Amino acid sequence: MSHPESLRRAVDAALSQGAQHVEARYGRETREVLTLVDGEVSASRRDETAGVGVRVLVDGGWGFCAAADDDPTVLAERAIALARASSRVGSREVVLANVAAVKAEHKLVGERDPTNVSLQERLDLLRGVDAALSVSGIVRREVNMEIRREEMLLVTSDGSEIQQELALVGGGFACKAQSNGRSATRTYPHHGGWSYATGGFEWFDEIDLEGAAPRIAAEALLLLDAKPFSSAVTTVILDPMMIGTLLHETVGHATELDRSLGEERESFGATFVTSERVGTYPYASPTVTVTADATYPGAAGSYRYDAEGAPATCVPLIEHGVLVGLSTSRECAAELGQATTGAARASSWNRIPMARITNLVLQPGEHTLESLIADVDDGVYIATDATTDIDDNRELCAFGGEIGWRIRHGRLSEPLSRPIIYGDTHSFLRNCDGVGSLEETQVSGIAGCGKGQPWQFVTTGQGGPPARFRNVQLGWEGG
Amino acid sequence: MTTAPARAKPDSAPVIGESAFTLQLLEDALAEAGGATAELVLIRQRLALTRFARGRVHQNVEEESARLVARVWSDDGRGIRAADGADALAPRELLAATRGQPAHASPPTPHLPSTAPKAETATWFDSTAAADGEARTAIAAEAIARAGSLELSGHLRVAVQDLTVVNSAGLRAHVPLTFASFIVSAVAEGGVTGSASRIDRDLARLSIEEAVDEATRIATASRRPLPLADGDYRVILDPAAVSMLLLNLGIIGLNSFSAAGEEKGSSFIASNRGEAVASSAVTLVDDGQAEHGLPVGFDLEGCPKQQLTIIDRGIAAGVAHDLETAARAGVDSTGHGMLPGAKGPTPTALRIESGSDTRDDLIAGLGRGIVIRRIHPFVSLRGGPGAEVSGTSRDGVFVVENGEIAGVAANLRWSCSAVDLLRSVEAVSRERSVEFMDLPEFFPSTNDVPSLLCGRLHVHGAQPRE
Repeated sequence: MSHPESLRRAVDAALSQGAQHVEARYGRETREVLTLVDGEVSASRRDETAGVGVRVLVDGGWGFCAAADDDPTVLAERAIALARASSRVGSREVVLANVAAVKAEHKLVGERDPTNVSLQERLDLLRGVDAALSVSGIVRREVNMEIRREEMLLVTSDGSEIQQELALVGGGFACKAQSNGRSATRTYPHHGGWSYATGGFEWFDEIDLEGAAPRIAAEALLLLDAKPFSSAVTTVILDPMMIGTLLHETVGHATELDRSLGEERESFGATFVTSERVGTYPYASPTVTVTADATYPGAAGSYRYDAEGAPATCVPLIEHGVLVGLSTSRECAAELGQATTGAARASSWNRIPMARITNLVLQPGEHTLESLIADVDDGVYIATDATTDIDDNRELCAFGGEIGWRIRHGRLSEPLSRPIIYGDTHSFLRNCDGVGSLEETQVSGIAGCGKGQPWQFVTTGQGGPPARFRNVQLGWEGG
Repeated sequence: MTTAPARAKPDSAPVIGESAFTLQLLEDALAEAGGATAELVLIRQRLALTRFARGRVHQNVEEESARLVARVWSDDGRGIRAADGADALAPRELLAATRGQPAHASPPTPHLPSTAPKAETATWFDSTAAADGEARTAIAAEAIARAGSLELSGHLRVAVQDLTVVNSAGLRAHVPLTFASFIVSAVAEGGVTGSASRIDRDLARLSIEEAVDEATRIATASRRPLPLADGDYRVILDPAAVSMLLLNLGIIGLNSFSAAGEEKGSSFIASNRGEAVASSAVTLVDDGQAEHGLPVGFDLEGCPKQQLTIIDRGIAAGVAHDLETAARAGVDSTGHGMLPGAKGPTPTALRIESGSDTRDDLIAGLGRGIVIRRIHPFVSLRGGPGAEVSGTSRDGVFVVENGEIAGVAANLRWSCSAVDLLRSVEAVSRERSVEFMDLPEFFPSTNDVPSLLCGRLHVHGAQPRE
């Protein structure tokens, strides 16, 4: 049903019916989730989905039709009808940025293909983490693992035929401390007890959940006695997880060109970023350089080819504080007369490609975490993203952490429970005055980056080294 | 790389709206499951969506899918397995595969229902099912034209669904469903916006013109906003804002209206049960059998959708249960089951009972304050016993002086304890509207809510619109 030949036939059929451009894409995804709560299996689930989607461009109108078990040629015919209907509403010439035709096979499953790791080994790993969290005062332990496999076979009317197979691994843990009517939860690596990466099962060795567990459990216990913090305008240092979330919301989504063009407005809103601002807009302080890097090794948003057949790239979005790039698909890149950044991702076989975040990375600076802290007389260090919000123009925003430490006279002092900072994108990023080192860079992954209608959830990577921001509002009075 | 096996679609494969073949297939599989406590849920759907912006349709998509989820309970736990496409027509294999999964921590085996009620109102409308790409783009074109010089972004969604639930207790429940939804956002001078949405099982009843007019009216009225000074304000939350607040408190983040939230410790309803969490003017129920809730009759576990009182004249009352949370709590399901592995029991048809005042009465009673029409869906949920939340407004904030609308403020950041906010409710409007949001889960959220006059909301920070 979904061999290359059937996709080629669908492409040819659509071309013969007048399509200017055709993509026929088969996808298959498997997802295995395993969760232990207090040492017992609380969730074990395996989901599988497979099907074909055909997207066509006819007379300036797009049509897309997907089904799990229909002949791709039939889907192509239905997509043609949809495209012709689209073309009758505000039709205009649609030009696609050029992509070189390629015949390629790409497989990224790491050294140890995670889907081949036995259930027993997976359970043993989780039980080891659970045991490391089992310390006095911890009343609830949750340990998570997810193994995904994504296969894509893409045939386009440009002549490309791409087979791509990716493995994704995810995991983490949460622990809750409780005493004298107070409770506190710490999670690792991200809030909720998850992070994701592309590659093999060896990722679990790299993030060493078991090794991190005693520290995180100890921090949960520490938070039980944390004092409430006072609202203040202060200096804030954010850990790589917080940096990742900050970049995701204020830079990643804000620099998606289709959002900038208004195509997401009725859903989660637009952005203050416009294509006219590229090259001149003072997005951040000169210490800030941010890339969207779909080639970042092992990151959750890495791949070789996007869902339009364009090669993955590393694109600077902000260079020394100035907006220099946007994430694009072939269609919106062409509106700027540029090449696509290869960021057109589709969450599954039944969704269209659209400009997406890949991996957002704050480039390292001249500092270390130690030197960043040393230069703060009074401030706060915040770790592990916990809450986030941002408005419909990607400006007003708030970021909460799970834990913080007051900085006094260049040293970390007492812990703070769930510190939150708020302000706007512009002042946050323009007040960054120091970025940590390459050695301190961490790029973690999330699985639920949502966009589009119907909803599309993709994995993305984000992070960098720790960084320092001056004049940040911590907490709020009266809220 | 492996490619899908060349699997022929059976000649007798079911099509949406015809279920005899499906039921037999599922029954046969259960019969071979060896007397295990088991459940099969099959969802087949055709989703179509036409999206427009910048005066053109930029997306016109259709998708057909079938998804089968098997759950099997045994003495040593529970297994879940899900598949779609051709494999959705292989329930026997899916049931067998659940046995290869690790045993769960022996939850109490739930008491599976053996019968399921039908919805008392029609669930299927041909006008919706028949809406093809031409019909949808024609509606988009009309909407764009109606907005005149204002730029319009939006989408029309049409869903044709077929839900079947069978289980080893003898349940054979099936219902065909349709719904259509329309969301639109208009942009006026200075980039200010106005939005509106509509949802109905019958596309013919979807008031597209009203929605466009509402969005353009709000956008136009929101022009030239001024920043509001930080501080505490008396506030009227209009229905769209109330609905989004409920969605965040109850469903998306804190799960406060659900036993899943109670189990996680994030539910302010459960942690304050029997206590006042709102003023006596507030009664919040979930009613999946009410017209606004796109009534289905039964949930995704085949349990009858029951009316659930969450807040009774200000007092925290109850939370929603599905089969498994009910088994753990030793109560009955309230009919809020979703697909296994999702968020747990979910109330999707919330209603706040009307008050006796008109919205104009509320504005007059506000004296000096603000009207927030809509809040942006992205909200910081800090939780705790008081349900601390913070977020931003969207689509215009209107300033009230001396009981009358006197100006427009820029979108702003607000924060509050949701409990304190609800306790400060002084009046509830007579007028109400159905506000909805598409959830990734099966049932969309459709809330039927009035405007609320609240005594205090903290405001800090205005959208810079740089």
